[in-house]
Amino acid sequence: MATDLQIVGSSQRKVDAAKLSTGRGTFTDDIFLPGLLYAKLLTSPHAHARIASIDTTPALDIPGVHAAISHRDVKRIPYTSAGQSWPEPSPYDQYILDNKVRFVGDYVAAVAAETPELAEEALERIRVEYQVLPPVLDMHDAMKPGAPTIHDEPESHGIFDVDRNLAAHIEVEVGNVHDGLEKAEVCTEADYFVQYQQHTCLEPHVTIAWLDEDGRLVLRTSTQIPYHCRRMVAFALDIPVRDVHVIKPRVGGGFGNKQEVVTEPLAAVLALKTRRPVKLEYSRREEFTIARMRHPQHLTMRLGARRDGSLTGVHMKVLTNTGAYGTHALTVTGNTGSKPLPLYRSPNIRFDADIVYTNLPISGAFRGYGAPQGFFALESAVDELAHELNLDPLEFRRANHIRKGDVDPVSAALAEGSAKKARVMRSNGLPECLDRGSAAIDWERKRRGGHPLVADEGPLVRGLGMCCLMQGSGVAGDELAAASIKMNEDASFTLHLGSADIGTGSDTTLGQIAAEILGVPLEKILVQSGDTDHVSFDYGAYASSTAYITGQCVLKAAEDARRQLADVAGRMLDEDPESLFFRDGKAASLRGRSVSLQEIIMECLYGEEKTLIMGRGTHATKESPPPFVAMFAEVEVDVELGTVRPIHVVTAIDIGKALNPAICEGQVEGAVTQALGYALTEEIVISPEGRVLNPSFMDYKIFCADDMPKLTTILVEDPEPTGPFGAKSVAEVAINGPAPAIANAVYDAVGVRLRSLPLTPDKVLRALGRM
Amino acid sequence: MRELREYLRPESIEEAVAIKRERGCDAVYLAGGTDVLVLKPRGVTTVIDIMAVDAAGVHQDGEAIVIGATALLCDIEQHPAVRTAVGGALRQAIRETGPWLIRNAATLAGNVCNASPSADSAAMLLTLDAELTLSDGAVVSLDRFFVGPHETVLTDELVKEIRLFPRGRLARFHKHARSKSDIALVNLAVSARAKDGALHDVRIALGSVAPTPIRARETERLLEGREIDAAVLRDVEASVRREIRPISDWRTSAEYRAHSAGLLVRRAVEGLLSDLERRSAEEGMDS
Amino acid sequence: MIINLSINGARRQLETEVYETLLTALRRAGYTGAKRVCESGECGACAVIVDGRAVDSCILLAVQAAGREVVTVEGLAQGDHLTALQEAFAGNGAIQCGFCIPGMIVAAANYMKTNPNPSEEDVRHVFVGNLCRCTGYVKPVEAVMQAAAQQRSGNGD
Repeated sequence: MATDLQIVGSSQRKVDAAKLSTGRGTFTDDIFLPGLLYAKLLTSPHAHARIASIDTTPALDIPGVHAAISHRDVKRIPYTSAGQSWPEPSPYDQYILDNKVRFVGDYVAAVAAETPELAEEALERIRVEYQVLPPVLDMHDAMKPGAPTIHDEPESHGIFDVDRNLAAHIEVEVGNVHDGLEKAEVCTEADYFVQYQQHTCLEPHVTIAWLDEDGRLVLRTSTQIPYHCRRMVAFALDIPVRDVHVIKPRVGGGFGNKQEVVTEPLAAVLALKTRRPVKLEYSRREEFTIARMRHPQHLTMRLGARRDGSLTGVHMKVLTNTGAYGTHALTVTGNTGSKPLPLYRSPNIRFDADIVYTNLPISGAFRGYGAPQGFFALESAVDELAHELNLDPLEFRRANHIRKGDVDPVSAALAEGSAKKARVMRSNGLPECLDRGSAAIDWERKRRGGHPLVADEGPLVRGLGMCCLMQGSGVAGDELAAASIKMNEDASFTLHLGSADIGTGSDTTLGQIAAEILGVPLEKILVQSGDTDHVSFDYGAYASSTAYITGQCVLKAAEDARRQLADVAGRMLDEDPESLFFRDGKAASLRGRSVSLQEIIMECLYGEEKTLIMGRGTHATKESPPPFVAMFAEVEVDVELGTVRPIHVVTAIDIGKALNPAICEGQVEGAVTQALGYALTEEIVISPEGRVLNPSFMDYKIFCADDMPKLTTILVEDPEPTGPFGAKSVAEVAINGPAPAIANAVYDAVGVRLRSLPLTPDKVLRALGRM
Repeated sequence: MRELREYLRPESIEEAVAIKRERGCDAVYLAGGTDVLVLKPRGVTTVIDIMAVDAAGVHQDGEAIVIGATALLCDIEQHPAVRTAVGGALRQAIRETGPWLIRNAATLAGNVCNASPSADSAAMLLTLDAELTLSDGAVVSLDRFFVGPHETVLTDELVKEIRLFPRGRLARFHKHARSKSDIALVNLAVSARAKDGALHDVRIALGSVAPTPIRARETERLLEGREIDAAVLRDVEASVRREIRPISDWRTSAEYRAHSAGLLVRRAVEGLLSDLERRSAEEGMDS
Repeated sequence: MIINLSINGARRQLETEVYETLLTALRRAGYTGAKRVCESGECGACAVIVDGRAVDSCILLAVQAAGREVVTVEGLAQGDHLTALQEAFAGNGAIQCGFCIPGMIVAAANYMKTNPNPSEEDVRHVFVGNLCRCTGYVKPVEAVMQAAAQQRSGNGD
């Protein structure tokens, strides 16, 4: 491996930065198609009802309305909208349009018309009669005897227990946790509650669907998963995969909300029906009500330890609300256990989970993918245990965390994908993260210790909290990436990737890998990605997979191209190809003789060689090495007003290798900010009838620029032998930290434990006994 | 607003009012649009854009600051008279009414006429004895202007200008919200005249704790000319809580609104007292 | 209906309806830099400059812009030559998905005309109306400070 890297490891400008800064970057809705029709949705006002009758024909009386469809106009094929490997581990419990509605906002009918205003008018003409059913509006009621059955339709499958509304169920044990807790000298037990959080991608879900001149269905769509989307839409519409062409342009944020086929199936149906291009775009209100959200959970943590601080038992029990449909039901909650639980060494670990349906908004994939919930519970519980034992929370974690060389026992039992293999920690920079992070926040000096307030203290009190985190890099054994790279006449290279850059900068990072191998500047790599007709296969952007898995595959493709170049250069220079190195746009020998890449390609295309330089690579792996984080937060609590103001968040993160430091920092900064909202201000509020009450940016509060604390990001590199240039992932792990770090900081400041998110002033004052 | 058919831009207030009288409730006035075009009222067929009428600018008129109906928040906050009024509290209140992009389009008159119970400007204006001059010549005191949530005494009239009377008062403004970009959980302003080392003519106004922004008159009377010690401040908290009628909504509970309203008014009064001390010290040094 | 106005320094006509927002009319005319995100003046992704003031175009009727001078993000750069502000955003990692960026750049460019020497607090205050879900605002704020410093030292546009 090269020790002085030229391109990898530096903060190269993103390949799309110029066009995005001038407004030229094109997103899905930035094109104009003649004859475009606008689709709009009629959605359910009821949380649970059968559609007793529906008549969409009056809508067609309006000139300019080209389609008005209900379940009667669509093939009834159960599918899942969850973008995962096939066969998807989520229940097949969705229908493009159904004869039953299962949450407020569920699809009832759809229209396509020549203007958005006509489409609105068309919706008003549709006549629907509902047979209202009693709803399940609290996840604790879902499994009770006599609860209404939400998925009573016979065609759905993959549901763990239909009658009990149980979409999925998980039980996993290492050792014997019952015995482990019995042996403990100190035990803690507590319940934690986490809420619906919404992604609020600035770009809403939007799909433009049309038939090309060959009658193939084209989907230009804001997606994280172009290839899964192609397969899933073909399946849901019962058409061949070869007749579907998915184009992913620039995407304005995904964060997991677009790891689904949300708008694509219906847009496709309308395009096929009208033979016109059709745009289906969610309004902001629809984003807040009928797109996906983070799974709410009720978690119970039990920990047992000896007085010396070693753990004897860790037991996590989870009740998850997957909402009206089971998209990502099993796998998100699988992560709630599998990502946090290996963090601390314990001979006995148990994880039990029930994932239930309710007549509430649909939960789905959201950055962190179950881990934020799990870490909130685990890291709050560990903090409490440390204090119980009179140990510094930092020292407790230092003593107990998983080490380099350790095997993750939970991974064997709880693998999210199909490969069941124990993870070995081949890289682990957590010790350095703990050292550097704690120094940056001044841990020793600034902790208050959680003691009760004294009379002359306050109202403003500060405290420090911390947590440790780990995640994964891709889904072990269940990812496949492919790339190809071809050389052009000006010695530039076109890199074809199936991966989906959704703002993560993956096009840039992957381009840097290719540039490094080939010895050319990044400007010489033209990255083409996200079009299923023209680029290679890839599972897409989720599970923090792209840099680690697609990165390794780009490395292979670039090395393949370099070997081909070396063969030709060897002949041109009369040197052994293996002895040549590639730098500054040249192939050079140790004897100082060289030939430029430009000369090589001309020789290939037009000279004696008559050959192409075209490298190919694929990559799949059973590994999923975790990045590690030590996160520290300083807060200021106003004990009269109940406010918790974050002052400083320090993230020390071991990512193996920072392929592009600015991009890595940006991923951390963004993830931390999303989680600050999760911890303090964000909550989808639902009425007693199951309706979202705050479906707007004014009412659903994400952090704005003037709310931000100081953020410090420390990139630590403990090289991962299985990763490209030693890299692991960066995209998700930091989002797991702020909630427990802040809750622990509140304890340090004022001595109360808050176990329900978000940490609102109401809750703080009640915990302090001041209201 | 797909029923909208007509956009008119009269150049005088009389013309604007005449059109409104004729069209009735099918027509709405449009100033900056930062409320109307967000709320998008159904059934509106005519929009009367008033930004071309002769009611622009901010100027000083004797002891009053006069703010025209079409003056933009961004211009109001920059005006020298506003910047310096009541130690900067008025400017602060205007800046917290909405983000900069909104203030570049919104008008103060529009914000007042929208009559949200949580209007941030209203609390401050109420403590400066604000008066509204209407298109028909009538002058209405702001504390008689609000009737209910999004309801004022206006029928077809327009507000022509707003007059404020800082009168060398001390003032404090506070907006308590979940975020810097949110509607207030509670907002409030207090102002008072400083005389002989005590607070006089105290005004206390709050928003988000009643169907309209309100004055807390009993609490004001409590403070009039008094020596203010810790016991009085505790009474102030309790008195505020008695005078308000907050509701529980999904933003927060009525209990929290009451708790924080009382607390924040107490802190604002403490702020006035320290401003008073500072001013007395400065005057002491001058003499 | 047709309205006459100036867009990015040139006299133009926009086809529109009375009820249409300026955002919709501009996007249909090909100025797709301004984005449709919230349609209620909360996020700033649709910001354009009208008669010298940066405003949310989703809460302006297109007809309100008749006779006015509108500048969109497309009108800031000169051809391929980015402004100092755009360079700063592009160069320091301030752009992730890019959807909020045209609005941020329009707002910042307009603000710096009246305040060429902003503090970090000033920039954060201005950006309250520009929501971003990707960056945590860290690098965008740095980019504005960097561009402002460059402009003051005469290196910028």
